[in-house]
Amino acid sequence: MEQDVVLSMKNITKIYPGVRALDDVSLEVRAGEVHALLGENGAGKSTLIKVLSGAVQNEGGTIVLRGKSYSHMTPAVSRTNGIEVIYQEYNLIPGLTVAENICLGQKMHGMVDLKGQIKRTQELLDRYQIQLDPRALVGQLPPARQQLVEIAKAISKDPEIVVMDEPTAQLSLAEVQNLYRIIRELKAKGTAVIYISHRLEELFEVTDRITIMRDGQYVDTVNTKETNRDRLIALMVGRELKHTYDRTCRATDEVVLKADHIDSYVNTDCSFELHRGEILGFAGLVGAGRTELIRAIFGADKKLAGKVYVHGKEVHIKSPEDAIRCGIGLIPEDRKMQGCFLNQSISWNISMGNIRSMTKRGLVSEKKIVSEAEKYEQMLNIKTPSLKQLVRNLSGGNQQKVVLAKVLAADTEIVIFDEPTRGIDVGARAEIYDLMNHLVEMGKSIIMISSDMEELLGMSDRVIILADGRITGILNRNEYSQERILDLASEA
Amino acid sequence: MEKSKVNAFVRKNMMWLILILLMLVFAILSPNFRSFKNMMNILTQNAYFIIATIGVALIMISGGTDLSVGQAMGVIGVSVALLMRGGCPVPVAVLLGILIGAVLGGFNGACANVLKIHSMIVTLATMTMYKGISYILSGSQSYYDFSDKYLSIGQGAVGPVSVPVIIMIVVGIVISFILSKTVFGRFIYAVGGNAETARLAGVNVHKIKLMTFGLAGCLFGVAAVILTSRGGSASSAIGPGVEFDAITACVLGGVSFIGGAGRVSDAVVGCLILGVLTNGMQMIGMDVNSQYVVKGILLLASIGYDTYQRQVKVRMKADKK
Repeated sequence: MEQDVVLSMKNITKIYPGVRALDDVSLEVRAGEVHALLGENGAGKSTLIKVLSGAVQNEGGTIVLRGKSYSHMTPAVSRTNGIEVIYQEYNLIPGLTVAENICLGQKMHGMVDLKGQIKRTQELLDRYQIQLDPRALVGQLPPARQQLVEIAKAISKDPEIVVMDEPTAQLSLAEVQNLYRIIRELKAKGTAVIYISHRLEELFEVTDRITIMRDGQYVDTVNTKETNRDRLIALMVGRELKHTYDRTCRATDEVVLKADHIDSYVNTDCSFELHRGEILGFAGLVGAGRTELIRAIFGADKKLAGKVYVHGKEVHIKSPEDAIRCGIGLIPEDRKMQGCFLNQSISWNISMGNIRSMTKRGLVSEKKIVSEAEKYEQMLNIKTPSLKQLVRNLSGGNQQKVVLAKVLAADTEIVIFDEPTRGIDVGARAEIYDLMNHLVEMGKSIIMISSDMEELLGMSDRVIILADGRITGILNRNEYSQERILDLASEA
Repeated sequence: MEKSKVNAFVRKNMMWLILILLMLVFAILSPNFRSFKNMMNILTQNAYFIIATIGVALIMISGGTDLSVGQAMGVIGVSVALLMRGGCPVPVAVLLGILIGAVLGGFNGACANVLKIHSMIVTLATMTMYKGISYILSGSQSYYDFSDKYLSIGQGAVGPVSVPVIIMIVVGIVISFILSKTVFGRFIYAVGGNAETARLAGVNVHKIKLMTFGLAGCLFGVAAVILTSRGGSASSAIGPGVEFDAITACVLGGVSFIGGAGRVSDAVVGCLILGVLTNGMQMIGMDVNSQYVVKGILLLASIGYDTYQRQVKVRMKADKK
């Protein structure tokens, strides 16, 4: 039975500088269906939704809504066509009540009718059996309840299409069931739901059809009833490895770092060992708690429980300062905000790694700083006309090398790379990989958090997979594959 | 090639050039202004202000702000006067005054660290607190009965150069040295430039903030001593107002309001521009209210020009890419 098509996106292309975020992607959504968008991190799901909501403009393709064709959307056009998007980050005003948030922007003239707002909100909440007090302040609700407010706000506008981006990321099991019920009611009313989730189990629970995307491209659309978990994973990953990674395993038996039953605000009971000369990959979906685990070990965030051993000796790391003293260095995820001093020179940045060693009779020696910086300029092949160049003016790859130089300057034994090549072009990427190989040859050990599957498979000696803040698997190089990693990463 | 060098020099020393220009204008308009005596007078009058502004510059470089400077100076001035009244020898009273400054500054830093709020908010509160303390101590009275020894700090001179100016030069050199030559100084820039990067690179950000506020507090102590000994009186009202003038001077001179950049000389030139402007306009007999208007216009113009310069720089860089 062929239902009415309410939305059809045809051949959508979106180009960001250097990246084709969407390449000829098509999507067709029918009335009263729950349509899932599935794909790895960076597959282009969120970008596609942003095109639909008018948050970004596509370069090519058409969007057909209510029989009318649009070359691109604007937020206003999207709204008037009955499209409501529930984003992962909340767009609620914490200082207003549930009712005020839900009714916000509905009538902007005359006096605010508080009683009417509360009454209408209560009716809406009753209709969908959502347990919320319309008078409660949104800022005082826990995240899961805020999510419900967000959903209620979206459906209060009687939309034709509701987009839910990772709606269950914050919800407990009972609340997820509640959400499914709401989705089914929307469906019964004939509303189309576009449902984005990493969790494969959920898709079988609520969706009718699934569109799979990979690297910004459309892969396939399948009926949920006619597919299974393994097939979906195969569709998500079915790609050839483009790069060749020249890797020789340098890992030894010597344990340099041992994490023992670590708990953080996000992680529960995580234990692992890092060997000398090893590149240990950390895989997981966004929000799995990889960065949080590493930051807790590094002392950047609070560790709630567990012990850390360096070279077999227990260490008490309470701050990054302590971690660096233990020979651990971190190259953070956000290079610009956490890795560099953008308005300072290259040599200045490198000197910050270990300024105390670059002194003469207690005073900072510019000569020592320059000679240290020159050493790393050569070793890491930092491309710049002068070491006085401000780091702000360097390319991403060279900035990353400066951060690495800063970390190495502190005599680091264990180097943690959090997303080592994010936003770095292909040429510089290969150089970063060479450097990592060089570091393990020198007997250093590397922890590498990465959302880039190719990089993980290509560079890691072992891969640790996290899901929901827990370690769900540790795979050796000979046992891992894209399918196995993804399987473990989507474990609930 | 030569031209770009000249341009770079002009851009780097813009505020010094503006200062010289101002002095030339006033020198032409007023014979009194251009006397050596008047020049020394401007320096002596502003010595305490320059020292306090260097303290504020330190805090601003570390990414903070201090609105409590004026009230803190009130507390220090009154305390030193009371100490000497109670029989405390002058050198001890002065040292204790500087120590009180360090404690008041350190308290600001500690609050910002512990409560994890920006120092602007912290000092907004402590400003009121210090005002109260200052008036409780002084009993709303002024103190005049200073010994000659104390008065000689503010009013003495070595040859043609007054003692306040000598102290100011020493303070300037010492702080410059700390900022550029010590590990602590480097860390001040690091914390102000990007506190999170600094923390992840192993800098104890809290300690640096605390020390910066403490050191700045010492300078406020020195400033308060010079101010009271030069004027021959101490009361709770001596300091207030300094905080905004000092921030103005810093911004004018080129100390970054968001932190991570600035030199002692920036603070000094900012103070001198304000000082020369005030003195010069008095000399040519401008009435007080018009002086405010001119000062405001000049501020807007110079800061506006500076911001514009930076925008052009940014634009040029974008074009190059």
